[in-house]
Amino acid sequence: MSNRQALSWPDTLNVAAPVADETARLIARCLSGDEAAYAALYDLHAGMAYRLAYSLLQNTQDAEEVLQDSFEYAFRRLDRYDPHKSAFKTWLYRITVSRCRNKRRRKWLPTVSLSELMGREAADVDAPLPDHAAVLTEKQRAVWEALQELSPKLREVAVLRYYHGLQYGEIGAILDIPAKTAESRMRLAHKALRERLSDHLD
Amino acid sequence: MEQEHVIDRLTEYVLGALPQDEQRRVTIHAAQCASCRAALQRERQLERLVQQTVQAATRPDQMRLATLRPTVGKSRRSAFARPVYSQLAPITALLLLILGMLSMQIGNGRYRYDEAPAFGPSRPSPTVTETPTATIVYASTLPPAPTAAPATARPYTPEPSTSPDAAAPDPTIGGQPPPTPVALASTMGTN
Repeated sequence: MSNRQALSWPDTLNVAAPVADETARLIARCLSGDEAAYAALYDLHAGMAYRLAYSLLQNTQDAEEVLQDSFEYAFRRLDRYDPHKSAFKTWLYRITVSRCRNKRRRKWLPTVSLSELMGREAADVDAPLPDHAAVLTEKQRAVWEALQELSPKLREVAVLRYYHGLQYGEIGAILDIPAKTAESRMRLAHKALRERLSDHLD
Repeated sequence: MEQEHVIDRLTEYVLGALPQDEQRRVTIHAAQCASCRAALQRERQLERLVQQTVQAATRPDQMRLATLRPTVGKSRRSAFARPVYSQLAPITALLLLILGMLSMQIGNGRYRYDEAPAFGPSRPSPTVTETPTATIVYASTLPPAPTAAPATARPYTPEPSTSPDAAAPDPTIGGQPPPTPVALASTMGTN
């Protein structure tokens, strides 16, 4: 099982109708007790959920923890998911964003590392890992840094709109804000990025 | 002025924040106006750049993600297959608490609970009067206690013990062990 390429999540901006249909079938199987369906549901959505978490946290370890927590939470409460209220992706993203916010809040608490106590410099654990930085072009690296400079609220909207291609109503449902608020934040994020990256645009 | 007006709308246009008729007007104008079309291209370029950057920077390690798959059986067990007794534990604890409070209320002055000594099992040692009804109620309403033994009519004042391993206070009074509730009731009955 581990050798074959079992992971085939859609690495696209928009979840196509076939994926939504497959999701509905898998959820029905999960709720009827099919344990393999949980794994398939994870495989179908983990990629995009991970990308969202990493975009918001810029840290691999944090993003992986959020991914695991989010799916464990979603699976425990799968019987309470209402497909009439939102798409599964929207519901999952809402859980993921909430976990990301908690993770970020915990990092804001004042802590003193042992290395700091010993007078040594603490490692910058929030910097992009070498493997991620190595695959980016100079322009992309500038864009990534510009995204990090956005406030968390603007970054959330920017990632959900630019990359995940969601409408403002969906973004509002995920972030628990009105659609108009999502729209105005997106406007602010876009203008901030445009000013920051004006040198990199033709 | 019209061009400036359209340029001012390009951000909202790209972000899909314009009403449909405005959207249509900008589309038509951008097709005819070179400067607005160039500005529109820059707006769209920013959008594409962010998409490509996030795509490249957040690419997951597929094999790594497979290892992060939640343990489905454990998740399901915790959500759907908890033992019945664990689900009833809070209700049981609440019922015991209510029963304990009720027993104190039923006594209504016939019982006086001294402060429990800080050694042995931390249960209050009730004192009982020579009222068979109260005794029977006490025996039937309180949950079975490992060391509970109601004293006689005399108030029970245990001697403090300094030994950490001290057992429960010896309720013996007058050299005789206190009667159990049933025994006391039967004794009362014969008198």
